[in-house]
Amino acid sequence: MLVLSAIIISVIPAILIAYPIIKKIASSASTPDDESSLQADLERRWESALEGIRHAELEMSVGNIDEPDYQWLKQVHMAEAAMVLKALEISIEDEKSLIEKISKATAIISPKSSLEVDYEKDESD
Amino acid sequence: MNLKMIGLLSLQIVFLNFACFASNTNFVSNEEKKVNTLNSVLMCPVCPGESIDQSQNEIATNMRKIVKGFVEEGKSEEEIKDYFVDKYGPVILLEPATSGISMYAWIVPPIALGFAVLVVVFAVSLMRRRQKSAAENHTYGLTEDSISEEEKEKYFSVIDRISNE
Amino acid sequence: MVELGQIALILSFMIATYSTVVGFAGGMLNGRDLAASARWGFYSICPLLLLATASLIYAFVTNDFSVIYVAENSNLAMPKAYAWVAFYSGNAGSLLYISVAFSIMAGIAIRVVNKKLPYTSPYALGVMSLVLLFFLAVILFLANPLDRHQMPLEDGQGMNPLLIHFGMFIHPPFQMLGLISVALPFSIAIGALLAGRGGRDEWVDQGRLWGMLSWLLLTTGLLLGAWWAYTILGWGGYWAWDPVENSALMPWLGMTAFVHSIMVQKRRGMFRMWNMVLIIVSFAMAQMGMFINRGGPVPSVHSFAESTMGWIFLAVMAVTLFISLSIFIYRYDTLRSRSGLDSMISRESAFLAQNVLFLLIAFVTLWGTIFPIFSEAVDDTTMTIGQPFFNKVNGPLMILLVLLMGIGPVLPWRKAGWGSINKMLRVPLIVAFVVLLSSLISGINQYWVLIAFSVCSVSVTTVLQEMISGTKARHAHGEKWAFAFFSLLGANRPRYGGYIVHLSIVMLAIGITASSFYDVQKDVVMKPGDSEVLGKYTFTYIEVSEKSFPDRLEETAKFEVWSGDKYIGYMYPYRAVYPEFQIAATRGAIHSTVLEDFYLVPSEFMEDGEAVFRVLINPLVLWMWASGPVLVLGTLVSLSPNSRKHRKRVRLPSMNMDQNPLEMAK
Repeated sequence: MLVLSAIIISVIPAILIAYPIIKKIASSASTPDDESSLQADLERRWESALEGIRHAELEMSVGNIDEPDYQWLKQVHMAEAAMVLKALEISIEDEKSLIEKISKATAIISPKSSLEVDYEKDESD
Repeated sequence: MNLKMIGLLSLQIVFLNFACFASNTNFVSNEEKKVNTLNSVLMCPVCPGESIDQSQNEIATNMRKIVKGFVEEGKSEEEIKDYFVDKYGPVILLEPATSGISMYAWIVPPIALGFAVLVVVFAVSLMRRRQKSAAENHTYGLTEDSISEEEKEKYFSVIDRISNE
Repeated sequence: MVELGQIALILSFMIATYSTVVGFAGGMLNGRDLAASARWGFYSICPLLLLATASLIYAFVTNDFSVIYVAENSNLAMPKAYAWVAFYSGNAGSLLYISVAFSIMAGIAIRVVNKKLPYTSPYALGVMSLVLLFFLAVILFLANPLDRHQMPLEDGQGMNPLLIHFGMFIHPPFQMLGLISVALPFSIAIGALLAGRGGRDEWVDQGRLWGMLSWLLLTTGLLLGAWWAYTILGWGGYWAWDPVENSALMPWLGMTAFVHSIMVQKRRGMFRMWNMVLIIVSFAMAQMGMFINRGGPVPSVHSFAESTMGWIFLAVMAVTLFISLSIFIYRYDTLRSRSGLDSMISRESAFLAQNVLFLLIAFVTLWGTIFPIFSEAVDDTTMTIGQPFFNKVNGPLMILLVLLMGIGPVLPWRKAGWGSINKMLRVPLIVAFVVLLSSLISGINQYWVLIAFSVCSVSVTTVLQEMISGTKARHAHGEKWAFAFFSLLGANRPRYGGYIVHLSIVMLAIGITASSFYDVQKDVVMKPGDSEVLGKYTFTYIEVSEKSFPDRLEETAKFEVWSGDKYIGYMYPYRAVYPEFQIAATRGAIHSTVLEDFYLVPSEFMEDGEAVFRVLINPLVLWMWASGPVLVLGTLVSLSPNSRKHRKRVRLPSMNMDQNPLEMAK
């Protein structure tokens, strides 16, 4: 009885451990977003800037802060949010130029690469 | 402002009700107060860290009796403390003395406080300085100056629209 | 059953080793299948440890005294319900309790972390497995609760009678849970450090979530411990600055600082290094807490789980501290703040001051706690430092904290002009002044109490002011008052939850101040039939009844108590003597009202029913216990995610340029 139960309780974890490796469940799924990527970082900063604007408006409407402080806070957070958008634009341009480079390179091999098609479709929006 | 006044008044009423315990101290005689104070600063020798006031130990019970006897005899707090210090050594006092090795117990906290104040001042001034030269922290080396006025206008309109959604 | 438990322990040890190695490997090689395998293995540890626990409890219930731990911590006379208490009342059992509790919490945490932080999670899992591995190793090689005697015993030694109390069902489990749960935010932080490539803020939400849960557990443990001491230790107090109490307080102080300063990182991308240091230090202090509780070098009444392995904990603490700080230094460059301080007077700087103050109190507490070791080393005398020292040094610092708690939350982020400060602080200062005057009128003459109450009133008023003006603003938009209030709370839960917690802390502070400065204590010798008066209370000692149990002799006194003209009823304080342990456990009889507690406790029974009683009036103690539920409520409000309606999260356009706001603006 003891032996049997011992076998049972050791087999279950063994299966649990082996299963993900044998079946490759994680690597067959799509790659998750990297939480420390530039995009994710910009997103967090974007959110905190917008949160700052909202917060300033809330404080102002409640009467916690005076007009000059409000103007200053709003201005500062707007500037921060603008910075994020600018960075985003640059990164998009980076990506554009990257895609262009890749498509130029691939165009030599096959004139109608899928990347090119996608890129143009996006541009038309 | 009305609400604030009401709040103020009710707070005060609540408070006056609460503070009725202030007369509590008249319930016991000065002698009893003295006994209680002494009990709470003398350590029970066999149960380290506990005062004789706390401890249920027999030694503590006896010491409480001795303290009570002394107080009734009219001995001063210092005399009674000295009696126990003579008997058990300075270890018996829960409050460290201001001389000898125990002095360090008192010296270190103010030094730590001074150090903490220094740390705050230093950290704040460091962070202030960083704010003034924060350029390299932004992605792509962006600073406020690297965005032109018209770009700013464009972005601001976007932000305004989004944040008011 | 016991053997099966042993096998389960060995298996968990092996799996924890696997999860540690493969978890880190999965992170470093970016092997997602490896990480998944380590994670699934980790999940399977929990049921195994539950099995081991079940086998130990089964041994307690069936009185299997061949198991050493069972024989040491229970006997035939012990009520069966206390099998649960006996399970963690000794050293080996409490280690198993910590392991099983941690395996559950860490399992849940890693599941959540894996969803939110897929690249951090393998490392975090590695750290968590390592923590668990340590406990399992100690259990298996040094203190195995499932080990058997060669010779079975007839009866066990029994449990420490001081532990036979209802509070023991919840205080130690919460306390241990709280201490070990500090490992969760710690693992996430170290995991993020190890995985880190970019912004360093990715772990903030998860760190805050698990940090606050851990903080909640620590707080609950402390409050329950105080309550337990108040009702059972029979001296009428609740906190004695004992080493074990201090060592539970220190991680609490660290975590309190952490849950605040993590907000600054969330909002401003500042304090990145500071938060890392705080969580590392908090975890070290939590380890220290477990170390002192386990027969460390400092004498204490509470070290119920005594053993010599405290030193192993100390060594491991030193190693942990060293390794985590090395990782910190290794990743130092990625931890630079996103921005600096805009103004000397701002929410950020208030947070900084508060943080440093918390650490200062923790340091002073540590200093007082280890002073005996210091004096022993320097002077060969073990000078124990007690309550008076801590009250004198920490008391004022804590008042300062309460003051900051009042001012900090109303300072705006980034910059506070004098106009705003005036707007926010005018009313609270007026109220503080009014409270100061009214306390003087009502006869309070201790200046510390006057200061403490004024400071408390600042905190209360700023919070109420925030809530009132917020509600008013919503009311002005046409919402009904009650609805406006609740939707205000709902719209910004972290903030208003925090305010509720602050209110509960003020309740606690008022209770502590009043009961430590205005408590009245009197020792009276009474014969049956005698009546005595203390304040408005008249109490008559009617009789004493003796009851003999196999393990103890109980003497229960019967009192009839009047409060002024109001009849209160009978009160039954009792004292039980356990001859085998040479311990007397007293239980006070308490009549609690909103304003004060009337507390009766027997200290000695003599011949003919004559007895010494200690009678106390402790003002406002009920407020301390009432602060507990308020605090839990506030923390939960603060942790609950904002509802979808209020969230209004604006996502940035993704890189593939669909719904790009810049494009739309053109």
